[in-house]
Amino acid sequence: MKTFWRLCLVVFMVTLPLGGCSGETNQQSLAVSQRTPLVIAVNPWVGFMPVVLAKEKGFFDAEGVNVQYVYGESSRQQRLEFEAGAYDGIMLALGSLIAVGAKAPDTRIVMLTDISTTGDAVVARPEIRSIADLRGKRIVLGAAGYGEVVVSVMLQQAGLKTDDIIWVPMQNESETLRMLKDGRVDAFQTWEPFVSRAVAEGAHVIFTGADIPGLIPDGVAFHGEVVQQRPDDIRAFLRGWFRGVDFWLANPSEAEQVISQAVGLKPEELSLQGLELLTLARNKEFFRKGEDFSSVYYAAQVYVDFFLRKGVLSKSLNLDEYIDASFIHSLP
Amino acid sequence: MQQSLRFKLILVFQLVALLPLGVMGTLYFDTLYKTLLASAERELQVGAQQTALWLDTFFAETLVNLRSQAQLPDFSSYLVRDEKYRRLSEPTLSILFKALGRSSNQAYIQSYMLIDPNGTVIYDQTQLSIGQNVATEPFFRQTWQSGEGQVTLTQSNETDQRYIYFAVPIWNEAGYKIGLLALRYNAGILRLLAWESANLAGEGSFAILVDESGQVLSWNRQIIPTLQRVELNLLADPQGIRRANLAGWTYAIAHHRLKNAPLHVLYVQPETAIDAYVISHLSMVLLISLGVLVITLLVALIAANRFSHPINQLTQAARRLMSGDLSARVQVHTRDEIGLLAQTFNQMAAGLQEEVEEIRNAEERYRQLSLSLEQMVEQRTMQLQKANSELESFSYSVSHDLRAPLRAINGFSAILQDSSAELLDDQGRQHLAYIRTEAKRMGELIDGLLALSRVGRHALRIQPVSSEQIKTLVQEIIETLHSNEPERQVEWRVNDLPPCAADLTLLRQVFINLLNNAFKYTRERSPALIEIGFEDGAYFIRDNGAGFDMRYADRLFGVFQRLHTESKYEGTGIGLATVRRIIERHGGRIWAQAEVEKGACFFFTLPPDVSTFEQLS
Repeated sequence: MKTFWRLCLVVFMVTLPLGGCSGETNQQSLAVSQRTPLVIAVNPWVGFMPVVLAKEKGFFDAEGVNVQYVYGESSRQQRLEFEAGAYDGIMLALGSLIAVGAKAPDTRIVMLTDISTTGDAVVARPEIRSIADLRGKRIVLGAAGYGEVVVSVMLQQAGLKTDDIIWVPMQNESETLRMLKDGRVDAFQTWEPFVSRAVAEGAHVIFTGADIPGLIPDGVAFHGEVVQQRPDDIRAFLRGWFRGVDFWLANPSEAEQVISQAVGLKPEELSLQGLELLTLARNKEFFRKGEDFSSVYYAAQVYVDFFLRKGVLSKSLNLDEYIDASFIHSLP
Repeated sequence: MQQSLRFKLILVFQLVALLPLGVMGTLYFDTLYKTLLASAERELQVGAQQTALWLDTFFAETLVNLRSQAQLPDFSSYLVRDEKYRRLSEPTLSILFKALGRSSNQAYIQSYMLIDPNGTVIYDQTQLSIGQNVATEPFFRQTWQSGEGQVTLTQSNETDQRYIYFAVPIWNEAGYKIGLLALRYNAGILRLLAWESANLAGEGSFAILVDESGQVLSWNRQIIPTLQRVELNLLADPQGIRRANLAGWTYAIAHHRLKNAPLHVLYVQPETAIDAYVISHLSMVLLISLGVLVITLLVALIAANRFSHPINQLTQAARRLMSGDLSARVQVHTRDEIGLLAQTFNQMAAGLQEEVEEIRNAEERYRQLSLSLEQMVEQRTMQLQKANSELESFSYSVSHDLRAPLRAINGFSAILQDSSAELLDDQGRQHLAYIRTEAKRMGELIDGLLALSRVGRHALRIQPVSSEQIKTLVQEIIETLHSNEPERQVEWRVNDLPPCAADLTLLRQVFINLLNNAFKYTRERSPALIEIGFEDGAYFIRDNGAGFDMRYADRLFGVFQRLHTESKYEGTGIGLATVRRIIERHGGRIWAQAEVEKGACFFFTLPPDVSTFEQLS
């Protein structure tokens, strides 16, 4: 008898598509909040806050995409979870997005959020006067992330090698700030709002991204699967994002208030001083091939080369695929 | 008929094609279903084994690497060095550990640690736990006690962050344990490894990592939003596919226990996905069956047409034949029974055509013949009628024209007899008397002929005649006859006479002639008996007179035909001919019965009413 019903089910399933009515639900016909969410991991970096703004201002809803950002203070944890498929997308520094390729090579960078200048910095204990003073000191930086490149470049500028310092792998930002304060470590490569927090607790800035212009872009990446299956959602996300950027640039104080209320950052931590938020037009400039840091391909290649040298990447990434410029260029 | 034949053929084809298919399908459907299900479940088992293998390999490799790294002299010398000098070696260890950690897994490596025999952390790459005592931690206890490399999973008390500890003892040259080298991994690496094994067993399949307490370490957040624990019975051996509810959905679950860590892999797939897999394969079988159905339908259609076409042709030809088109033939040239049938049909049609043509020709000949016969008869009749009427007008004119000279002969012979008889001798007088008698007789003959021809030319005025009228008519004639010979003894019997339709003048003539005859031929009877009546649809006049010989009966009604001598019974031989003519003009019949010297009886019929007369004429 069970077999009979199975047979009926089979006949039904076979005839269903023949009848021309597939059971597939049409995403477009659903209310935005009912559509499959586009889940994106976001850490407190100021340059990523337009996602909060756009969400709060309803720009994403207006564009027809259900964006769900997951706000967390530990960028490292988010990155590991992204690699294990917990999120559709993630916002990280470009260098870290490249390092993600070690475990998740089917990742696609679709947009740059900003170029960090003074927003990224190396903060040090008061007794560290200069970069040269870091010799033999403990400096905290994330393993297999963009920070390694930043610190490496910084040390090079001061005539030091990476082996001249004691590298302490960063676990999480707030813990590191405590260790920096009580002298268990001497320096910390980090970004806003942690730079300001460290300075507030007595540390001082010895190096910023402004010293290496263009080396620290930040961006958004999605799993290749998502890019393939939900291109419309990603385009809608980008449209909403740029509406957020434009709104912020036009109404900074209102934007700061909205974001502050949503994620609990202080308004002064939301200053746009340490970075350049990239508009769509600027993104279009960056998503072209070039021989300097004004091209995302160039900057990405710098990171790829570095991680290959250090063994973080076991093989090179095909940047023509890893960076998907089609979305930026498809927007009007 | 052709429809049903085609239908039958198609049906037979379908049956031939589908019956085995149906029987096979019915017999093997259950087996097929079970096989497909088993195949899906086997894939699930393989998924679990594969995931477990990857994880086990990761654990084993990492442990093996760590064991070889623990033999580096820098670690043992750092462990035995006085605490004050350890700081000096820190840069070297930092570089060493950085180098050891370089791998594609580096983001997941949290820290390398060196731990002394008391359980005190004397080196921690992250600086976080230096100086802490981990003697009670399972990873330290187990490794120290067993002296072998161990993999331990822990969960931080403050956060729900999980770690994997890989720990190996560090031996000095004398073979004593002088400490531990520990490597702390972010447990996220398990998630990554488990993530990589997603969809191994098809769409929607993925691995769930569970520790001994049923706590879930890794699962697919995209498919199940939250999953914290699973039932412990899912982790129990023996292994096999189980079905259980996870977050509201029924999953098929394959279980595999890791060798190198206290972990379990549950490789799961929604039951609906397995159903979909089974259904898609069964659908394929069904689609193939449908294909066979369609093909046999096509073949059946073609074959049915091929078979039924000649039969249709035969039917149509037969119909044409039926409707009279004998040239109908069938164009079928197959070499089978139908071809033979068609051939036979054609022969039959040809034979039929020949015969029918023969019959038609004969018919035509007969028709022509009958036509010419009719024409001949008509011609003859016309000639006859013409001759007859010519004869009648001739006899009329002759009779009429003869009367004038006869009157002269009669008149002058009468004058001669009256005035000059005495001038003649006896012989002369005798001759004169003879002339007068014959002239008188001739006059009678002429009158008779005139009457007969009048009857032929007389326009009939048919009217109903009542019984009384007939009776009156008869009585009048009887009286006239009596007055002519009053001395005669005659007994008249006049019975009831039914009415009829007749021309009264001519009817009177009939009775005059017949009664006259009866009166005449009973002259020698005493008493004479004459009966007038009606019997068996016919009027009759019967007498007991001279009668006649029935052998001559056919001559009775001819003109100038007499059966008795003139000397014995006077008469012209025209009376009965006249009667017959009158009766026949009325559509009646006349006949006679007689016996010599015993009497005669004349019968005649007349139409009983006017409408009967009209029908008869």
